[in-house]
Amino acid sequence: MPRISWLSIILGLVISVAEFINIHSWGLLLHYVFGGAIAFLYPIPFILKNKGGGLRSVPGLKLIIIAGLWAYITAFIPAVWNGENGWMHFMERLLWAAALTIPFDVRDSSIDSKSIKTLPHLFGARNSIFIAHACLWLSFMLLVLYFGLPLNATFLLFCFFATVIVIANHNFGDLYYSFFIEGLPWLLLGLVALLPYL
Amino acid sequence: MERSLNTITNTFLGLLRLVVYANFWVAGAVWALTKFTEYLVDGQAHSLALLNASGTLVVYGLPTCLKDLQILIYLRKYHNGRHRCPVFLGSVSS
Repeated sequence: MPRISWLSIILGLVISVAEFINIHSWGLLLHYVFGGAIAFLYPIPFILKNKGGGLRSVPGLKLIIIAGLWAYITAFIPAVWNGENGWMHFMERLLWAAALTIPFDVRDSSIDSKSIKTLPHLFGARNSIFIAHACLWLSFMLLVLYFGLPLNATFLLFCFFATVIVIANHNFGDLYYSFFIEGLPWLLLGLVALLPYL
Repeated sequence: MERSLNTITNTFLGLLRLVVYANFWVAGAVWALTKFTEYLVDGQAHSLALLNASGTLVVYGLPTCLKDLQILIYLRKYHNGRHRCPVFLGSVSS
């Protein structure tokens, strides 16, 4: 394993501990213990060995766990921490994260065991992309109708997201998926940062 | 000209790979999404973006650690098995 990966893990651990000490909230810690437990059990090869190892090997759970965990950590906990009911935030982020996770499932469908039963295994690659689009536009509706984001700018941004999902192709390689798809959250943040000027 | 362009492109791609494969990019994505939520709720409390991003570095680094651990376990089993074996290539040749 490259030394930089170890450094990033150690850096992450040090900052996490420092932030927890700084925030000092047991309620928040419980939320993270719950999220962290699922995140740690997801790839671990020592449990559910006969199915392939880890929570990810439970049929049909892979997408729900990934999108649910992203939604829980990046939407539900921050919303609750700021005194809001986090469920609408959770729903919006679950749909958005699911939409952007499905292209990864399509890419991995040839290497994922058939027993995992990801969406591409169940419905085929083409139908999975349609489902990703449905999730994406439901998330768009929530952002515009419930959270009040401006229609035109949000629509343009989501058209770009939709294009990225459509043109995602396993021939593009790892860097495309990791850099472009995982880089899309920056555009969402850019949208709200530019809101005062729109 | 072409050569210098290649150097720039290669240096850029090298840096990009470093940032992506050491999970800094995905940690940045988590940071951005958390900030996005905090904008939506007009958050006044202490930001959780840094905590989420640092946690992502740990969680995403874990599978790589486990892979290393598995390789170590296999190597140890292989060496133990080889030493228990009554005749192995080393003893035959000597």
